[in-house]
Amino acid sequence: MHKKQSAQGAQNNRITVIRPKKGLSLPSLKELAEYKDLILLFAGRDLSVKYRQTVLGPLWLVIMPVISALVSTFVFGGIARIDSSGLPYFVFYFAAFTLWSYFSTSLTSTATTFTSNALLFRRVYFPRLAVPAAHILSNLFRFAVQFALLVIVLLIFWATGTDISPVWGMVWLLPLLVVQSALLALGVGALLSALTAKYRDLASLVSVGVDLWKYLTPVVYSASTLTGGVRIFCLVNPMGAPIEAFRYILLGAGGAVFPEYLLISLAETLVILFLGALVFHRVERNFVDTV
Amino acid sequence: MKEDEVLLMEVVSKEYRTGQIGYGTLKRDLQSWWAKVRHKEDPNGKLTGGRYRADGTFRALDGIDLSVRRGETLGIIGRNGAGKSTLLKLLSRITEPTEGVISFRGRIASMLEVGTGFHPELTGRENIYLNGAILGMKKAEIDEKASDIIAFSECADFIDTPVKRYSSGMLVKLAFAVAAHLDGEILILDEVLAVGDMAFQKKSLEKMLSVAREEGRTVLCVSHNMDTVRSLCRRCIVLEEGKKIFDGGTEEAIALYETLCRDYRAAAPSCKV
Repeated sequence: MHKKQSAQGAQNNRITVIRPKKGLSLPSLKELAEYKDLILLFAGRDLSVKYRQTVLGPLWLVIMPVISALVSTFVFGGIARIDSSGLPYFVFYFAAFTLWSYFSTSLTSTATTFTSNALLFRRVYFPRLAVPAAHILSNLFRFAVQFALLVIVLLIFWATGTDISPVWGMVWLLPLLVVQSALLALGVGALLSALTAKYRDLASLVSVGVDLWKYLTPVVYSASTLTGGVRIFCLVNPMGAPIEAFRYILLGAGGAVFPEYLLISLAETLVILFLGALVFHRVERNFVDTV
Repeated sequence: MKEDEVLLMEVVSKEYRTGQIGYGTLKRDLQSWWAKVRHKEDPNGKLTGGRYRADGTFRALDGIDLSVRRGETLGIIGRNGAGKSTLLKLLSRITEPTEGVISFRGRIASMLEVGTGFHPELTGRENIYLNGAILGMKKAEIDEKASDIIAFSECADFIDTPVKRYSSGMLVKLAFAVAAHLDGEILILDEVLAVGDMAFQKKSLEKMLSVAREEGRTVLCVSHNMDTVRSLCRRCIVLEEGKKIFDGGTEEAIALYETLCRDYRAAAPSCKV
């Protein structure tokens, strides 16, 4: 919609036609790309607003995963004595949690796109997908910080004699796993946000659902220690195989790379993303009439 | 679309459901689907007739035709509930028409409600960028105009303070300043000229006049303030109950609108004070 304009404000003659749409269609990626500046500004706002008027500021990014890892080490490592394949439970959990937390925070923040931006959406037009895209982006920044923290933790444990041997030959897979988690969060988030726009009850289910999902995913335990149907169930979950592979590649233990399940989970991700985009676009077109 | 037309609406209608939206809609959807399967008449199908339909839908806009040429300043007037805001919402793509086609050339920059998307924790300057981008500007365009916007807003001294500490007057002035510097070929104003004190209102009106007269852009303006309409618009349409009942000179349109309001007052039961 926005052609480059000269300083004199040359007339833009592109014709836009608005007509009632029938059936389902996908949101326009080209249009989304034209709003790239807005996506970046939204992402920047997410990051900067969160830590204003806080004493510790961005330090919270580091504190939160450490607290979570300490608690889990105490509960699952200390009390429940979950098998961590000979690794200190803290490291075992921290590696998987880093990717999981990127997925889950992206998911919960995109799941309420319509309801939490209703006021804005009622007044101005822009591709609504810009909001979830911005969440995925700002959370990617948080992930980068937490990944750096993870590397430091691994170095500390390695220096003090823990056997941590990353699978260097498969390190190239890591960024792909991150991208897949982002796409899955976007897909599920888009689906949920479209549904919560109509059925508000779902919003309260989302946080419970994400917690539940975490325990169906090999975060606090490893799928390699499971057998039979439970193991298949755990790996067919689209976040299962990626988390398992992420931890294994970083630590050289506490998981495995299951190529067939990784492909299944990739296929599931793409299907969910496609459905999410369809439903999201259906809702964004007339959402303001029903909110 | 003809060469000099920038906006064309062809039999555009917008329907809303009345009552509790979101309840029983699944049932209604199923009913319609079942009727379709049996090749029966859809019980929720569209009926012809007045503004309210038997199935509980309401026609906010009913068969609007409108053609606007480049550089025109068009006023849209009518009583409350006549469909003015719905018309602007369709044009600014916030919602889709139920029927009909709207085509336009270039960009539509909409100043429906100023200050949309302002974040209280961000500074004035940060909000200029955010608001500008929400309204469809690129970062480079805002860079170019930032100093003009700040000067126009009269908030230069506070521009790096979070807007939650602004007075309400400063807030609307800043918001209007951003919107006034939008670049679209078609500008939509919905009662936004009534912002700030008298001096600022005068300045806003002058800015809009220069946008229309000197920059040759098209302006669509909704207002209940007939002085604003008189000074800004050369052509007006009058809406009544979702239909366009007049299209022509500003003075005639205002006279018609005033008659409508008078008739309404005469017909309505008066309340004694």
